[in-house]
Formats: sequence, structure tokens, C-alpha cells
Amino acid sequence: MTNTKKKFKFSVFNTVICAVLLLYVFCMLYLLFWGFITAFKTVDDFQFNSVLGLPEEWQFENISTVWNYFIYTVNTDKIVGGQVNLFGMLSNTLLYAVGGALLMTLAPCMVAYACVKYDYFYSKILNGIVIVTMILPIVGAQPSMLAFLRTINLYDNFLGVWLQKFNFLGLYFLTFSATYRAIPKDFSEAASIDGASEMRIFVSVILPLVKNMFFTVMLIHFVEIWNDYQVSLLYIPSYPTLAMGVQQVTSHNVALGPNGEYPFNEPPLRMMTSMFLIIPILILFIAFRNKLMGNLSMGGVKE
Amino acid sequence: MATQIKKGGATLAKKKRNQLLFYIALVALPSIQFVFFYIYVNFNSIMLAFQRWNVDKAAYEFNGFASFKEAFMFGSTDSVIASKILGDMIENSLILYAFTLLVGIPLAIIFSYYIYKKCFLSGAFKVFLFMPSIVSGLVLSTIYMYFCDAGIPELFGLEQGLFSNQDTKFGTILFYTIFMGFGTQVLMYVGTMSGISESLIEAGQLDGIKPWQELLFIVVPLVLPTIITFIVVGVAGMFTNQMSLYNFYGNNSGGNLSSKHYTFGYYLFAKAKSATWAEYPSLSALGITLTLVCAPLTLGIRWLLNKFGKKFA
Repeated sequence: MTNTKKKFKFSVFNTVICAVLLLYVFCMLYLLFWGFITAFKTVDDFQFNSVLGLPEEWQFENISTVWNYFIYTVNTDKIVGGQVNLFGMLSNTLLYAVGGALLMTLAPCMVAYACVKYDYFYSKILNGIVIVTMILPIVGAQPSMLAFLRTINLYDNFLGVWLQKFNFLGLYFLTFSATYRAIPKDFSEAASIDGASEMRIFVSVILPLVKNMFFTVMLIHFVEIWNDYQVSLLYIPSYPTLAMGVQQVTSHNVALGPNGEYPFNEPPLRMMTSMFLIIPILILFIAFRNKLMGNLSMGGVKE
Repeated sequence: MATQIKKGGATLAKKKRNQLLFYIALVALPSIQFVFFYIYVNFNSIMLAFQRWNVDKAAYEFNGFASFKEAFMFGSTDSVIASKILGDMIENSLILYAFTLLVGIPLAIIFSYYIYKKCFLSGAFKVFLFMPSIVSGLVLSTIYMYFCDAGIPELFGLEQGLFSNQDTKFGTILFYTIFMGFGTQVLMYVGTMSGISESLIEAGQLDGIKPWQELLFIVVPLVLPTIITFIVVGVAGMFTNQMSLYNFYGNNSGGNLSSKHYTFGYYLFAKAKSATWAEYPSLSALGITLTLVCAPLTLGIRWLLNKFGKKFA
């Protein structure tokens, strides 16, 4: 394998691709860098000096302004004019992202194991359901979901949104199934002969074998939920997450500054607020980039 | 002997019963969740499309096809305006799909090939191509929007920003959608390419084929199932793709986004976000209609690609 790749020669074709990719990386990095330096500018510096250049004077005060004045204004059926600060948003985000990611991973992990291990007819039905729902596109079910959640009093409620996440459908069901199939039966059979119960085999023998994959899938879901604001905006509007806060700040003009003005209406503070959302994820990405990127393939996640 | 067989049978029966109980414990809750949150919700979506909200009774009642008519008026009372909005949304969705198909997918394949061959800086390119899938789309959209509206005019001496200029707005958003959409595709293609048998590549190299020929005549045919998957997923997403419009404009309270730039995905989400009980039926009707168009289209294209795609490969 390595041999063929080593034989790869310099060519015009590859040089052109390399140049395009370098341009892509430059644009991506420059965009992020520009957002970062803009976050440290004053409004005057941004408007009247250079939009593209470095800040005339690095405005570190922007960090404390966001820290102290970044507030989400809640206007829902439940709460009118409520205010949630940065820590409130962070707590909601962690509650939503950790709980959601855990449930989104747990459901396919459990059901895939049941379908692979036990050859009941219902397992075949579940396998079929996963395939059909992946192929069949359904558009615009949000109104019905909202009506359903309101009817059962789970609208604007963490339990409601967690229950939505506890579904086994999708790519990761197939991924877990492939992994369980690859585990030799000897492990569970040996445990069974030793008198271990079905639950004990799953928890003590199988789960440790798939823990890396479980963690990878959960991490992918965590990042996805951390960044998502649309699901929380629709289903838990009274519990703003950090992403919802950034969305409100970047599209409205609601957070008052220290002197009663609206500094969040200006690009520098909007950029600084955005940095609060992406920096934790960038740190996570740097720490776990191999897990997040290296393990994905069409067949799923490789151990 | 008989007692032993009886005892063994009882043990086996107990084991089977325990297995069944454990199986039920594993699948029961997810199955219940599926019944309520998928089957019921989608069934209710169909029911809602034929109902209307009775304010006095605070309940839904049968309303025939009226919600469908209302859905396709898009909040307007003028049918000409409504037809224009519908036409624009169909056009935008098709343009987006065409660009994804003709620009996004080929570029993703070429980039993946470069990474698969482990060329110069391929590891770094993989990280940067994947980065938009990690960094919040909302944040990237915000930075991009300000950069296009304030940075680009300064850089090129333009009078108007790319978002402020109505003529360049759609193209700028389209470029962003393609530019940020390589991440997962590239990972999938690289994953599939790494499974290609080395003997095939070696045979080609011994025959003296050039890299572009290797890509076109060996690699692409072998990763065709993955390419087909992305083409089909693109069709399925045609009516749900928001083109990041909600990231850029929120619910358009500032009126900066003309309806000529709407996509179905954006319209449905923005409406659902602020909808009341009375508006759910028309939104459901729109969703059902789009599903009725989208589902056969997706399945048909999938069938066609699977039937004829491999012949061409």
C-alpha cells in the first residue's frame, strides 16, 4: 500500500490541486483570523480605520464586555422579557449537548446490539426501518412535532428535546451493527459459560470493546449539538444555549452595554461573542481531531 | 436421565426467557420513541394538512384541501406574487443542487484523491477541509457576511458589499454553501478510496497512466457507490437545505433578504419557528407536498444511478 503511494510523482495535475487547496486553506484561515482580529477592535477602529488591518489598539475590554453583558432575552409563551446571562447559557448548552449526545449515542448502540445478537423477527423489522428511514426523505415535520410536544406538555422542556434525540435511526446504527458483527462470539460465549447474565455480558464484555467508538460517536454528536441553535430555538426557546445567544446577538439588537447603548450591534462585539462559541470547540477539535476525523469511513467508524 | 433432560430443558427455557427479557429491555424504549416521535409525528403531519384550527373550540377540525391552497400562497393574498415566490424557491433549490452536483462533488472527489495519495500537505488539507464541519456554521456565516460586506469592498475598492448588492447576494451565498460543504464528503471519499486494491493502482502505474487518468478511470469508478450516495442525499436535501440563510438573516426581521432568495428549507424553518396552532396545518401541507415530490424523485434517481451508473463506470 505504502509502495504505490510512494511512487506518486510530481505532475501538473497535482500541482494545480495543491494550489487550489492552498488557496482554500488561506481563505479559511484568513477568514477566521480576520474574525479574531476584528473581535479586538473598537467600533471606531473598525468603521473609520482599516477594516482589514490589525487593530490600532487591541481592545481586550471586549472580552469583559461580552463576559458581563452578553445576555439572551427570552420572549416565549412561558417567559416574557426574561434574561439569561453567559453562565445560564453555558449551563443550558452543557445540559442539552451532554444529555443529547449521550442519548443519541446510546439508542443506536443498544438497538444495534439487540439486532446483531438476537436473531428475532423483530430485529429484521428494526433493520428494515433504519434503511427505509434513511432512504425516504420527509420534509417539514417540524409543525407536527411542535404540535405533538405542546399536546403532551413536553414543548419548551429539556425532557422533550432529549426524548427526540433518543432515536436509533441513521448512519450510526449501521456503524454499531458492523462493529458488533466484527466482535468474535467467543467473548460472550465464554462469559455465558461462566454464568454471566445477558446484561452482564453487554455491560462488562461488549461495551468495553466498543467504548472507543461510543466515545467517538458521542463526541461527534456533542460538537453537532453544541453548534446547533435551530433545534433549541424551535423546541426549548426558554432555555437559551450559547449558540442561540450568538444567533440572537448577530441578528438582533437586544443586549445592552455598560452605558445603556447597544454595542452588540457592532461587528467587533459580535465577533467576540462568536469567539466564545467556537474556542471551546476548537480546543476540543485540536485535542480529539484524530478521533473526530480519522475514524470515519463510508462503512462507519473504524476502531 | 429423564430428570436431567427435564432440568436441562428448564435451564434452556430460562436462558431463552432471560434473553428475550433483555432483548425487550434493549429495544422497548427506542421502539416506543420511534412510534411516537417518528410514526405518529409524520402521520400527524398528514392529518394536520387537512385540518384547520378552530379558535372557539381550541381544537383542530377537518378542512379538506384548504390548507394546501393556503400553503402555496406563502402568506400573500396575491396569487401572482405567490407564484413568483414558489418559482423563485424552486429555481434557487435547483441552482443549489446543480452547483453541488457540478462543482461541489467533483471538487470534493479531486481533493479526496489528493489526500488519498498522501501528497504534499495532505494531512493539513484534510484538517482544514473538515474544519467547517466542526466550527459553528453560524459563526462562520457571521464572519463571512461581514467580510464580504466590509472587507471585500475595501480590498477591491467596491462601492457596495457583496451582501448589500442584490445582484451579487445570491452568488455570494451559493459560493459560501459550496465552500463550506467539503468536510464530511472528503472524509467519506478518502475512507472509501483507502479501501481500493493497490494492485489495480499499481497495474495502472505500470501502464504509465497519468494521475488524472488514474483518478478518472480507476478511482472514480471504484468509489461510485459513495458518489451515488452523495448525489441521492443531495436530491433528498434539495427541499430542506437552508443555504445558511437563517444564519445570515435570522427570521429576516430587518427585511434584508428578498423573497427571491428564499429556499424551501429556510421558509419552512423560519415559519415553523414563529408559527401558532393555526399556522401548523398550512406548513404541514407544504411539507407533505414537498415530500410527495422529493421522495419519488430521490428513489427514482437512486434507482437510475444504481441501474445505469455502474454501466458507465
